[in-house]
Amino acid sequence: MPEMRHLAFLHSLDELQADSAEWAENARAYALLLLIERWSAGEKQDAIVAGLRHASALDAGFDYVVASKPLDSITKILADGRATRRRRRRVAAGLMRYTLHLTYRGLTSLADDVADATMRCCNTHFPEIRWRACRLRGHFNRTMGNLEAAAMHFRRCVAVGRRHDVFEAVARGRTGIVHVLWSRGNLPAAERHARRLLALTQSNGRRDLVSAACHDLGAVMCAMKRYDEGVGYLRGALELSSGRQRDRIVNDIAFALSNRGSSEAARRLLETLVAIGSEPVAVTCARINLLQVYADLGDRPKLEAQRKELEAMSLSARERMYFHLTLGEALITLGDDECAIPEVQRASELASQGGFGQAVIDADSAMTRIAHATRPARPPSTPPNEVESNLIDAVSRVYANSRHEANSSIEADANR
Amino acid sequence: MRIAETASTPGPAPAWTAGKSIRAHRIAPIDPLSIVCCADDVLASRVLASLPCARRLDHPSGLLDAVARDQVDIVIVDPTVSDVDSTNTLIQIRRDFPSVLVVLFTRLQVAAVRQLIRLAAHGIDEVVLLHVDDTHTRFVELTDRRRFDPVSTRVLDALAENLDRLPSSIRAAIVSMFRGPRLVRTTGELAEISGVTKRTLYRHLSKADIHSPRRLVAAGRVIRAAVMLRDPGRSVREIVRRLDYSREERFAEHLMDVTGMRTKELRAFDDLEQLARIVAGRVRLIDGAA
Repeated sequence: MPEMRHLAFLHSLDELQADSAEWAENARAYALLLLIERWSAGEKQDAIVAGLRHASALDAGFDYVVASKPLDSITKILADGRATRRRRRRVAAGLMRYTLHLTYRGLTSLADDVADATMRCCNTHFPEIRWRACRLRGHFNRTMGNLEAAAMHFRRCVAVGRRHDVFEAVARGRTGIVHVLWSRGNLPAAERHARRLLALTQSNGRRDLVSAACHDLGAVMCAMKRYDEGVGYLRGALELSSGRQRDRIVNDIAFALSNRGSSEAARRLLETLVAIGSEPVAVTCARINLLQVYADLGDRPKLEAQRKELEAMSLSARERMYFHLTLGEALITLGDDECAIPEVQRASELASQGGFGQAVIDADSAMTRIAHATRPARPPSTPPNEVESNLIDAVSRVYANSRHEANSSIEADANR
Repeated sequence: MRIAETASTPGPAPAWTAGKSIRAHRIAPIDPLSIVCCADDVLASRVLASLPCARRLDHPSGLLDAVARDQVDIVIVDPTVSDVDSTNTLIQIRRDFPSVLVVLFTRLQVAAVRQLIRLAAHGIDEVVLLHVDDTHTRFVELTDRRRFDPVSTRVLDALAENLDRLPSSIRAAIVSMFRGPRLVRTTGELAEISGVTKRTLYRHLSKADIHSPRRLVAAGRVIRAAVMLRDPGRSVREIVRRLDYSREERFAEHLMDVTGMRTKELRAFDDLEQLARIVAGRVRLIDGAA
C-alpha cells in the first residue's frame, strides 16, 4: 500500500498541542519537506518562494522555536534559486543537520522521515551524505523495532561505502549489521561479524572506528555472559574513545560489572553517567540498568524513584521494551513476583512485536524463573576490588580529561 | 456531464523517454479526465484555476454517486468539509473504486491532520496543502499519475527497447495512445496522429519488432480496462461504455487477444508486472500467433 508522504510529521502534529511552539515548528518542517520535493522536481521559483513565505509564517508567532536554525538555513537555500547540484547538496546537508537535531531530541520517527527525505534529495549523488543518512535510517529502524528495514539500510550504507571507497561508511554499516544480529538474538553471528569488523578497522587504523569495533565486540561478549573478556574489550574501547561514544562504553562496562556481581562498582559508574553523561541514549540505558543494580543492592526506594523517572520519559520502542524487561527482572530479584509478572509480559509483547529475538528469550527465561520460583543466579554483591577500582578510576580520568578538553576549547574560543 | 481537459497540460515524459524530444501535445490531444472537486470556495478556486475541467460538488454526499455513475477519474476533496461524511465516503471510494485517484487538498490545520492520518491508513497517499504545494504543476502531475496508471507505465517500460527504435513522432503517438486510449481505436488513427501513412507505420513498427500494430492499438484500451476491472464496485458493462466499445463481445475479444484472459480471470489477476509482460510480449508477436 502506498504511504502518505511524511506521515510521521502528521502523527506528531496530531499528538502535540495545537497552539504550542512544537506544533508550529513541526508544521513548518512538514510544509518545508513538501516544498523541498517540489523544488527538487523543478517547480517554478516564484511558487516555491510563495510556499516558503507561508511555511515560515507557521511558526512566526513564537519567540523560541528549537529547530529554527536548521529550518531557516534550508529555507534560505530554497529561496536562493532553482535546484542546481550545488544547492541540492546544501539542502541535503541541511536536512542531515535537522535529522541529527531531531535525533538528539529523541524524536526518532521524525528523524527517520527527514533522513528519508535527505536520501531522496541526494538521489544518486553526494555519497558522503547518503551513507550517513542510510546509517541513521538503519539505526532508527532498529530502535523502532523494524529489524528487516534496519538491516536493509545498513547494507545500503556498506554498498555506498564500497562503491565510493569510503572506509568509514563500510565500517559503520557493518557495525549496524552487528547490532541487528544482536537484536535478533543471533549472538554467535554477531560475535563473528564483530571480530571481522575489528580486524578490518585495525588494518585501517582509525582510532574512533577501532574503538567502536572493540566496543561492539565487548558488548556482544557481555550479552553472551563472557563478562571478563567483554570488559577487556570495553576497556580497550574506552581508552580509544571520544565524545558520545564514551558514555555508551561506560554504560556497557557498568552492565558487565553488574552482571559479574560488582553491583557497587556498577552503581558508581551508572550514577556518574546519569549525572554527567551527554549522550541521551546512553543516559537512558544507564537509568534502565540502575533498576537492576538497585535491586541487586536491595535498595527498593531508589529503584522506585528511578522507575518513576523512566515512566515519565519518552522512550523509543526498544527502550520501553528493555525498561519493562529490566524492571521485571529487578522485581524478581527483590522477590516481588506479583509485580514482576505484568512487566515481563509487557516486555515479551513488545519484544515479539519488534522482533527483538534476544529479549524474547530473556523474557521467557524470566517467566520460567517466576514459574519455578527460582531467583536469578546472580553472584552476591561485593565492594569494588582492585581491578574494578582501577576501572572506575579510568572512567573518572576519561571524563575529567574530556571536561578539561571542553573547558580548554571554551577558553580558546573566548580568547579568540 | 464531463468537460474535456485542456490539452495544454502535458505532463513529464515517462522514464524511458527522458531526454528525447517528444512533442506529444502538438500531435495528439490528451484523453479528457473526469475530475470532481469537493471543497470550500478558496480551495475549489485553486483547483479550477489549474484544472478548468474539474467539476465542483458542494457536499461530499454526492461524491460516491458521481464516482459510480459518471466514471470519475480523480476526486480532489478537502477532508475537513463535513468531516465524517467526507472521510467515510473517501474510504468507501478507495475500497470500491481503487482506480480512482483520491487527492486530499486542505489547509495545514489541526482539524485536517486527524482526517489525513485516518485516510492514510486506508491507502490514500496524495496530499496537497493550500499555499504550500498547490501549484499548477503539482495538479498537472496528479492528472499524469492517473493517466499513467501503473500497468500502462509498465507496458511502456517493457516495450522501451522496441519504442526506442521508432521515429519520435510514432513513439510520441504511442505514448499518447496509452495516455488516452479512447482517442485511438484503429491503426489508421494511430498512423494519422503519428503523421505518417498506415503503410509507413506498419513498416516502422515491424522494424522495431512490434509485429502486431492492431494488438498494440487494442492494448491501450485493454490496459485501461484491466485497471478499471480492479475496482470491485465497477461492472463490466460500465467499463465497456466508458471505453467506447460497441458491444461487450467485442471487448471480450480484445481482452482475450491482448492478455489471453477472460474478464473474470483478469479481474482476479493481481500481478501487474506479469500482466505488463504478457501484454508487451503479445504486442510483439505476429497477428494470429498469440
